[in-house]
Amino acid sequence: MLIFSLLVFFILLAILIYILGEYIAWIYRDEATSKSSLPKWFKWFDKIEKPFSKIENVIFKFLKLDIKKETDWKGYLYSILLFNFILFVMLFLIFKFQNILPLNTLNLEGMSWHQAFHTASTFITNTNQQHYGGEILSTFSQLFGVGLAMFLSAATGLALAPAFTRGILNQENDKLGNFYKNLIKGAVRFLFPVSLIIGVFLVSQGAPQWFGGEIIVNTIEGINQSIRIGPVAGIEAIKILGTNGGGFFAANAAHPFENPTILSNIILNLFLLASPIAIIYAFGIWIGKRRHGVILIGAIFFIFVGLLTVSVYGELQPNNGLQISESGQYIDQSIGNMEGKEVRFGPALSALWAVSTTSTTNGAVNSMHNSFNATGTIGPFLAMAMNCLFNGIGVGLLNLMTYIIICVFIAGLMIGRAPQYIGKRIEWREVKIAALIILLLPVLVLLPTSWAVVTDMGKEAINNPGFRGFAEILYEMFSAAANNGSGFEGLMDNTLFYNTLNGFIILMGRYFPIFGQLLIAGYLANKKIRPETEGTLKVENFSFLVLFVGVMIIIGGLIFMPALAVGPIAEMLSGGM
Amino acid sequence: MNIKHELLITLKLLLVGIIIFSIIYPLSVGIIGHIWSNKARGSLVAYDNEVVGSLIIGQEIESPNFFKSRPSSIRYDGNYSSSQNLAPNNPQLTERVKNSLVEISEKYLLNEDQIPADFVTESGSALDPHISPEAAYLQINYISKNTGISEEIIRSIIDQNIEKPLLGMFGQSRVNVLKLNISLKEVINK
Repeated sequence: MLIFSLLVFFILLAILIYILGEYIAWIYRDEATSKSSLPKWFKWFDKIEKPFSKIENVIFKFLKLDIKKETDWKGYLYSILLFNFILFVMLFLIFKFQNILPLNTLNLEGMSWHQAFHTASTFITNTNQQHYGGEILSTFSQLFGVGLAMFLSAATGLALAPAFTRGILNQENDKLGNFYKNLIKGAVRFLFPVSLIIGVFLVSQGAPQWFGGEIIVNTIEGINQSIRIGPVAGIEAIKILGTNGGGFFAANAAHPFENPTILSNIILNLFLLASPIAIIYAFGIWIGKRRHGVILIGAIFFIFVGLLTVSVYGELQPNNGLQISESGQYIDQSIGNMEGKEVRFGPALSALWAVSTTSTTNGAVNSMHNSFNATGTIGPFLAMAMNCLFNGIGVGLLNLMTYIIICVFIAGLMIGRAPQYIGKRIEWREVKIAALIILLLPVLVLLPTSWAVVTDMGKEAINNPGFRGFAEILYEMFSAAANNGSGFEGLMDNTLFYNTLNGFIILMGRYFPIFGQLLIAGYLANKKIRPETEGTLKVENFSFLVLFVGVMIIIGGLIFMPALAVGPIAEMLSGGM
Repeated sequence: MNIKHELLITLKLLLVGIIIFSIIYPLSVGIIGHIWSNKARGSLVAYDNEVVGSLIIGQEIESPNFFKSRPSSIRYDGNYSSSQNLAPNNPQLTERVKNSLVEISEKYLLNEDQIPADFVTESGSALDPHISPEAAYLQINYISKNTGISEEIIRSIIDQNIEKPLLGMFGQSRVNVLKLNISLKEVINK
């Protein structure tokens, strides 16, 4: 039954990826210089071209934006950094001074400077690691800080996908596109309408969209209960679609207001996976090789299913801490580990979500990962460590390409030919940058982890004993460096130490790779397109899939084996004690 | 690259973003969502013309006349959410569960020797509105004694309120505690 339900889930997922992928590819067909045409049954996309372009033209005019002007990689990076910096300043001020801003009916205080720094960094970078419970934010901060940044950081990521594709498809032309135009198109045509649909759907399931701060009721027993409320449904929708993951409430998508029903959970989980994967599919369309997109998704999916199996199996096992009996009574754990999980979801849907949210860089949680069995935590840990699975919206494609370059390079060595990917020679410069990008993650994860575990500032925050305590810190650093934002939770991380340290890790984990990847795109763009011959590496067949899986496991997975061995693997082997 | 020109574009873009994503978007969700106006306001339920809670937020129950919810470290205070995040290897977890187990066995004087896991564990949100049907069944005898309602009626209240997994395959069977308690109150006040 479980396997059958997962099968149904994946079929629905495939359909959703197909539709969203074609749609995203259509949005950027000109910006990415697409080589494919629209399939028959999606011809109606052209009918909605007019209303959308009208809205966009109003915005372009207001900005006095010259949309014909395209920039090279430097200009593109410059625009991203400038725009993100301005957004950062605004968010920092909102979080720091929410006490004097409007829509603060509950008189909430502003954040400390270091928490505001961490929170602003995390939201502009699409990370959404939260060192605060959502309940401490005013409605204004949620709408004008969190909500706004969720749209704009996702749109920033989205705008990178067509630009990188241009790097591959350009014939000795260094122009990658117009960042502002790409950002606006992605936000207007994809993020806004799809979020609106999901948001309205969520309201129909019970997620509130209300602008007051709290409701106060007398419970069935007559006891006073106050319940926090706000514009939850709208923020929840973009949080999932934009691979953001920052919860409106501390409990994130475990909170009944964020994720009220099983149906809402399934739909959110589908979109959580589909939005980053659809971009990989769209990449295949742009380069005129739909099959290549499918092969890439298939390779990642293979690893995804492996991790999923481990985690679902782990969570269906009983929780070791509950193996007790008292006056002849014991706990029936035939259902699996229920600590930190909602009754409506149960262990299987919680584990599915946990692996989904970490293999994309979403980071929303519908159960508390820290209460998972040791085996159950392996999936989320490895998914974040590899950092090349479906990953974030837009940037996921770029991270994937980083691995592709290494993969093509290795394949080139194996077949004894100069490495070439879709008509472009891969030379030492690209390989060097790709290798540096991949090596950045271990530096950003392992150095801070070591620092934290040898100092009191780091150790004071630990919540659980033993290997799990180490795992909490490791997970925290992974979540920051990989821009995931998922929380192991429990770590008392709202301190000067963790806020500043993680804030910097997050910023470096976002902008250094983007810098390197745009640089690669810039190098590739200037190259000649070479015709495919008998000897070129075929990227559309099964052997490429196998090769790519191997590269991802060996390079992405094994880097972190020693660190993981001290954390979750040690805990698993010691029987969870 | 003209910094001044580009900065102006950026600032204007931020303004456009605020208008579309911080104002138009949440209002549109709210306005269209008004089709389900009660749900958009937090799914409030009334009994006897008085609001007794949100249907999807759990409640702390102390009275012996009502069904109890799952354990919650925040005692179902809706100003907070999230559990204690205790790992399986944490002695605090075992200690807490042991206390729950003692409390349950003393209170409900059970014949069965198995307690359903959800009834002694904390949910992720600590605001879980549901319990498993088994956790509801084990409270029948106790509630019947305290309220004088016959066990059959209480059992039928539970049976009527069981929500099945979605399409029979996603999620778990469950009962909404507040719905059960409203039904109980209706029977008591009849």
